Amino acid sequence: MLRHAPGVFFAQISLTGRRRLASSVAGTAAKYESQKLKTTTRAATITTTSASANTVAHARTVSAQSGRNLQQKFYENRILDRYTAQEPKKITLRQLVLFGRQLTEDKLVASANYVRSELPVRLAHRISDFQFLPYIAGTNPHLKMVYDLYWRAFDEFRKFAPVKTLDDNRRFCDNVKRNLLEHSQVIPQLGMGVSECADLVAPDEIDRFMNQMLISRISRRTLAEQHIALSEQFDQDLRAHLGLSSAEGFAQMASAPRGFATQRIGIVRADCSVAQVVNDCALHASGLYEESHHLPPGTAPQVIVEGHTDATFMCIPAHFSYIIHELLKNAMSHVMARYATRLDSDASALAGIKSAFGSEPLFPPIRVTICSSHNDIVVRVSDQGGGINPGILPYIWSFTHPLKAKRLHNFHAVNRMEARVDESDSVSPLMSFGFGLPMSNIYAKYWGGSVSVHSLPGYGVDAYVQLPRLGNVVENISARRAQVDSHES
Amino acid sequence: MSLRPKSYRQLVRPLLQNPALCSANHLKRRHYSKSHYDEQLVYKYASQKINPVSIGQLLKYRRLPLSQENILDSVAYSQAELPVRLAKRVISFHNLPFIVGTNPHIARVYNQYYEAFDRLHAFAPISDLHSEWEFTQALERQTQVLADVIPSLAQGILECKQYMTREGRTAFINDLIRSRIGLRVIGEQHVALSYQFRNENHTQEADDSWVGAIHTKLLPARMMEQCAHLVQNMCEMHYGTAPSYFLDGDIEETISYIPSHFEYIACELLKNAFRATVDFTAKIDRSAHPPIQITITKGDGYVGVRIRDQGGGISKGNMRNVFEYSWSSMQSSEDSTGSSAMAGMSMQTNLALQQGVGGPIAGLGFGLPMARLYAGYFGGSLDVVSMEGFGCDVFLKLRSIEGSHTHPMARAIKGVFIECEPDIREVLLMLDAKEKFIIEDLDSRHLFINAAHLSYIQSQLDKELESTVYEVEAMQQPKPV
Repeated sequence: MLRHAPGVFFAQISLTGRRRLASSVAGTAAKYESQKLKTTTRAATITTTSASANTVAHARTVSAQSGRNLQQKFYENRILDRYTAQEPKKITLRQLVLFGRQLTEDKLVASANYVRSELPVRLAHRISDFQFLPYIAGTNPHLKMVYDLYWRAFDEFRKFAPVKTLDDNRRFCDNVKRNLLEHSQVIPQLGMGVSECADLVAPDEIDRFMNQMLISRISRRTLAEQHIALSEQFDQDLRAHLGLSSAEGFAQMASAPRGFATQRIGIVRADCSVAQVVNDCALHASGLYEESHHLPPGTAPQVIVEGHTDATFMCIPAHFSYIIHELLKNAMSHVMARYATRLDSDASALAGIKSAFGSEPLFPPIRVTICSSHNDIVVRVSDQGGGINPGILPYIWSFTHPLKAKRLHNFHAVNRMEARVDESDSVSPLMSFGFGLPMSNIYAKYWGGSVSVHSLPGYGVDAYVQLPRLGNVVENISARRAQVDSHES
Repeated sequence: MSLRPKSYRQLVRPLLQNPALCSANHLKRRHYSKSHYDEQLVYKYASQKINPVSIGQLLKYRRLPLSQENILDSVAYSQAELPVRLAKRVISFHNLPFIVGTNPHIARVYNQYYEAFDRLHAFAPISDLHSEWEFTQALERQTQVLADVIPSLAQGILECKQYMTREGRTAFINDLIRSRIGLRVIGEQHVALSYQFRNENHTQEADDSWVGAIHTKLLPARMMEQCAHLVQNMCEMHYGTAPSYFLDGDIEETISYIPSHFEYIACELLKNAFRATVDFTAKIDRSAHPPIQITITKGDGYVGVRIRDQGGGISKGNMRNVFEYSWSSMQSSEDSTGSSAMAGMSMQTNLALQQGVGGPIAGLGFGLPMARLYAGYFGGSLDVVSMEGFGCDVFLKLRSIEGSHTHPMARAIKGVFIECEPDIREVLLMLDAKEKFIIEDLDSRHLFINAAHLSYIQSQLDKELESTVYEVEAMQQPKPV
């Protein structure tokens, strides 16, 4: 059984096609939140799809109305200016951990107010980014929908009264959860919008826009999810001490030894084991491919973990897993494509039996090397999948490119999927949206790390993920773009 | 009685007394044979345009046997290109700060280039084999003389570290090395062709895998094996121990490349890998050296080489510096005060200890940046990825010198960047139709044009605008009733 900190997106993956939706980029966010809200995974899927069906329909009517109000809104923009004038207060992982380690009611309330005041500021900066897009891009219905979503969220949070008690906090958390759910369609919408505007806006500008949008989105969701996780943890602890008066309850909580649990604070894990994450992601990815190609278990490319296998670091496991999972998926798909002839059913069945008995594997293994230094963790994923096609190589980090535009249309399928309650045809988990690498890069960049890829033509690819180890790096979000009249040379 | 001008001595003496500048016993008073006023000739040559070294030219004589016309054609090309390039190198020294130019090592290199220019430009246009042979001999001699430029230059630049900005130093050295590669490619190609021609005549054997200095069937695997073996020996000799290595990947692939370049790059990279492994083993006290993995890959018109070591990697702070000139991780550990005299001394002793077997194993600080320039010269690349605390991966990509025009070399074009209103741009595009000057049309507000046409464009624009824009006064003049 896979054990993870709450919020790891694939913890609840089972082997039916419908659930595979989760592993694709677009669905990640949806499933990720649904984990928090549900009792069983099945219920979660249905809840998610019906909820988003409603929200999508709702959003569509709203945007029709707001079209009329657009010009009216121009003058209301002054409200935004008050918020864009403020800089977001950036935090580090360490601060999150230290804060959450010894929770008291006061601290929780303080956290709620921090989130309450930060979200509007960060949203305001991103709304401002939208406003500086070329007009023609801003009128695209998908981008417009995200824009409206953001405006509504902004309004809602800035009007929310300051949190003073635990009850206020619970209401605030419900509010935040609802918003997180509503916004789970942002990535597919952005994807569709951006692919449709590929001809209208310069690719550099689109990439910059998407990068800023997505990094900021991660930052808001991280803050929100961390707060919700802390609140829930606090509530749980509180319930565990039911029957005691609050003072006694708190006293007992404060003195109760936390042991293992103190390493897991909300969605942050202070001693995340790199090797364990890699192994889990490898298991999951192999399962994906074996299922979709109808292979016996054990035939997918083997993942060998080497180097500093006992390395640990402070991170948000969900983010780290996402990156490793994407890289492993890429590696596996390239290797299997290169040696596709070996997938011939007879051969593979035979090989499956053979490899189960420990003889020569079907595919060359993928080697993952872990390096831990004082400040950094570097994970190298090295495969022999033939390298990256030189035609695509310059564009692997871009969100828009003619070659990718075709793939971005896949988002249409996903959105339709989410809206329908009875999903008859399932989306292949391997459907590529062209987002994997840029998204991984964003997750890494968010905490000051990076992802880089070196292709050996005709041989394979070495991908490197570098992340800070100690959690003392500040969030890498930026304020909105500088105003047009400030002369930047 | 000294023949040197008094003023020169007065100038040099205070410098000689500054310990930071002189590496004691090696300082010889340089006696410049040229006076300040003999420069006309050099400037005349240096002002000519040069074209990038064309691969087509290098591979022109692929079809053997070589004929007399081929050789005379080749010498004509060399005669046209070499003096101009040499002159440009000479001029580049003129622009250095005076104090740097007086450094004996820099001065020595300067004189060598000047002498090469003198000897080679003096040949009259060559039309027969005899004078061609003389030219080839002279060329060969000059090439040998200029072979030691890099260590002298390195030492000189190191000693002058405090007198030049980092950008100035990097730009000067990059230009010099790039140009030097071009000079040697042209020079060695001609010399090799010349010998090949004469050998053919004598022995009637045709080895069709060589075109001058280019080996069209170079086996990267064999080359890496040889270099690795050589470096392993050097390492053993210097440190007493050396890691093992192994090759994998597409070992049978061949490319068309200049072996000396490949060898240089490979040796530099391997030297780094071997040294790092030995040092790191000592540092973390492990029982054995992990082997160095060399992977050869072949792509479309490319050969890729990946060298993986477990030498501890390069720290993030130092990553910035590894492609800088005169920076070596060996140096930084020994020389913390930054006193260039001490560094000069220790480097010299260091170098002296390592003479004789393929050059110094480390410490000059030129290996990586030069390797990168060499790799990039024919359109390849060099990347270093460091995993701190573990090791380094180096990715080398070399493009096969095939002479096919689908893989052009990186060309540097000099032009003028123009920013203008969209309507002016339209006017410029219209003018371009008559006489081409636009190199690249960037977007609705920016153009990249040929520098020579700038004044022409300006005059044309004025004329156009005059005819289409009305003066305000003319409009306001009251019409006569």
